[in-house]
Amino acid sequence: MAGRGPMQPFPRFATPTEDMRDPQPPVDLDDRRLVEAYAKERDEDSFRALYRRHTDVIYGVVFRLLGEPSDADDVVQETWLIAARRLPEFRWESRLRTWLTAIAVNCARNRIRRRRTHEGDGPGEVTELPAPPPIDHAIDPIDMARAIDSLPNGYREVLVLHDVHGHTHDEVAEILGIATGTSKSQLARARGALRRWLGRAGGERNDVKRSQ
Amino acid sequence: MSNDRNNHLSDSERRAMQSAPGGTPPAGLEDRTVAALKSEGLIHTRKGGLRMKVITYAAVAAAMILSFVSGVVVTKTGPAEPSGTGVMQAQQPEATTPVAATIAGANEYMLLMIQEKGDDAGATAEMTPEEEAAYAEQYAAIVDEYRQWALDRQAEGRLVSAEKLDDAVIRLTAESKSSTLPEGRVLGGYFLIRANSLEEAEQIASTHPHIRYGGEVEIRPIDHSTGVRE
Repeated sequence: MAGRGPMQPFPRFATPTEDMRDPQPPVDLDDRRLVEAYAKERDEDSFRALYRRHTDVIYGVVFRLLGEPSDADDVVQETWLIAARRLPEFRWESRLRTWLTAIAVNCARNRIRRRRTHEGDGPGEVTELPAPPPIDHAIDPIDMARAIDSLPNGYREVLVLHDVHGHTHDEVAEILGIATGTSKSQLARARGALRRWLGRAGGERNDVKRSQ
Repeated sequence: MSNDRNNHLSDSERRAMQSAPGGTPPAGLEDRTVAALKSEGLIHTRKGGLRMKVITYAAVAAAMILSFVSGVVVTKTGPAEPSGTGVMQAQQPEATTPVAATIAGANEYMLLMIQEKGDDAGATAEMTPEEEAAYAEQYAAIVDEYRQWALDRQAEGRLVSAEKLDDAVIRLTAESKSSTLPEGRVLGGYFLIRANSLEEAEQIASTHPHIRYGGEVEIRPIDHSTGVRE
């Protein structure tokens, strides 16, 4: 399994996040071999190899989407069950990990819908607020986790996939079944909502009036 | 309104996102997932081979005996004879091995090899000759794995001591005395290793085949604060 620790630090880039990919995405050829072996024999070793190649990342996505309480274990298991059923028909029109992530996001969504019965999927605001600037001071990672958890579902999905896990807008669009342009505009709004939440949380903590 | 100017993440934001806590799958999730797939027929169990349930307590115990046998133990003066009881000799780490350099003065951790004392009888009784041959082959491979792990740790200078525990047992309380191993979890042996931290000890222990074959390894730091040793 690729490292079990927290995500590795990213190198600095001058331009935004298109280059922030998860380290060492698995070679697609290996995935193909494993999927073929598994689909043919349904053998345990091939499945375990696939599991180990992709679960760390999928678990991370699901964990961030679900917030508390975390049914990430259940959702990841459910994801593999669904994937295992459908793998014989997988056509390699996308990368395996993208396909797995799409399944995982759907499972997470269903889980969230079942528990948060009164929260909507869309943005809370009707009017477009001005976008707050990026936050330059240090942010407590726990505050960041809470901020992400506070986002409406649609915003959270785009932000987690793009900003936390480094998927491109094209990949996000494919995973979520939306247009690439929608991914971009949703991301901008998600970041804005995130910054507003962090601004409020930071203001309460520091006992300083919000500057905006 | 210049929203474009704000259309990127700051370094602080990126850093906080990457270090937001959580998100590592627990160790048991893989086996649980495999079990779930098996129960739906999405993974076929190997025929004639050793599955976790088939490996009996006796087989694993035997594997551990051989892993505790030193084979050829190299000391500074040359190869030593393995002792008659199969006890591994404690070794001072050679300064030359790369691992030894990192663990000079390190902490000690106990790895307790635990497994379920399940039903032993007749594991091979119902097998066909082909299945039995495959079983014997995989059994020998497992024994090799256990032994190799022990030898590797010794070569690294990590091994302080290791013993296999015999099945003969007396369990004593104020009210009772018993001569049978308990049903359920049983201690088969131990390794005392050197590591720099509990995390490192866990990493080392996680490589022991005992875990993959259905056993459990309990890791305990040695508490030197009250020890008898100097």
